[in-house]
Amino acid sequence: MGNPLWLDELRQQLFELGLPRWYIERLAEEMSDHITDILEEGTSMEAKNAKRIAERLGGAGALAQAAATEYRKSFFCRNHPLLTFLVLPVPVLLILLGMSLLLSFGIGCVFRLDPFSSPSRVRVIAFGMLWIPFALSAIVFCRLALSSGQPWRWAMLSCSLLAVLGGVDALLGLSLHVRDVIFIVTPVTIAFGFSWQWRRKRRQSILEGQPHQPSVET
Amino acid sequence: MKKRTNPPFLNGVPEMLILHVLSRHAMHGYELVQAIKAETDAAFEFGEGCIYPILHRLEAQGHLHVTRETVTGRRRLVYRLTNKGKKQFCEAVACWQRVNKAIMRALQGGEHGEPALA
Repeated sequence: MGNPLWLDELRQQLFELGLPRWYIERLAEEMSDHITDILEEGTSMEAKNAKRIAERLGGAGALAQAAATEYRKSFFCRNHPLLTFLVLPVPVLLILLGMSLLLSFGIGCVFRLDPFSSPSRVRVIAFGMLWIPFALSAIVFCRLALSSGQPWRWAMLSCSLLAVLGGVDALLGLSLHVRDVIFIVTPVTIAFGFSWQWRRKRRQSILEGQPHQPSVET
Repeated sequence: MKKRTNPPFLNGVPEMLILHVLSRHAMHGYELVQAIKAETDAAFEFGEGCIYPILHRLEAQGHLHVTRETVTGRRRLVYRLTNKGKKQFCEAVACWQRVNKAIMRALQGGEHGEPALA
């Protein structure tokens, strides 16, 4: 049961800090059990209990900050940022490109389409599918940086790398002007979009206070 | 009452205490907090809620394993140490003893040795 107001505030704070729903529900469940245990300790009145809960558990905002900090510490990319944001984008992009090509080929076979001799809208769809892996990779690494609380420069590094690879791909392939621009501009645009979101969340978390640390009685 | 935060050199202490308490038997969060309080004579006053994010991180790192069990008639999430956690605990204790010994030696040397600055 616990204290519904305190738990609702905790849930809200955790949600605003971008933690996943399963984690929010799990922490809320454990805190609810913990509050029930605290309430079962004595026979204080309800008003006293609310005060005691705040004293024992700390504020919901501080706990949410601590939870977000600890949650992000367990990310692989926190411990290996170079590997994650400089090396991994290449295999991820290759895998997505392979999947995209297979999908394009499959669609072409099913509908008996040839992108080079088909009407312009078919060409747009075919080349559009080749552009999607770059955009998807950029989104994946930006989201990873955002959810793990990594400095934004790591996401920018991944997106710059993807933009360079996009440019190289465009130069090696058929030089369609629109496609060249899209390959290079898309990852960078996505990076800036996520950057804005990241800065907003960061400012919000700073305004809400510093992460709560366990304290020593003095 | 305003609480002071731990000084930086106490980083890792809550983790070591959690692993120590869980090395004896599996516990749920509330039980764990009470055990730490009892064992440390309440010298450390943790914000009780803060124990859960640390438990979740230790679980994600593979040091703890969590199961849902019925304890005194209620369904609870019970934490137990994994083999990796046992190894981590041994390493943490060895490191702590090494640091503690070095600090004690330095502090005792300070009483009998030459002053570092004239």
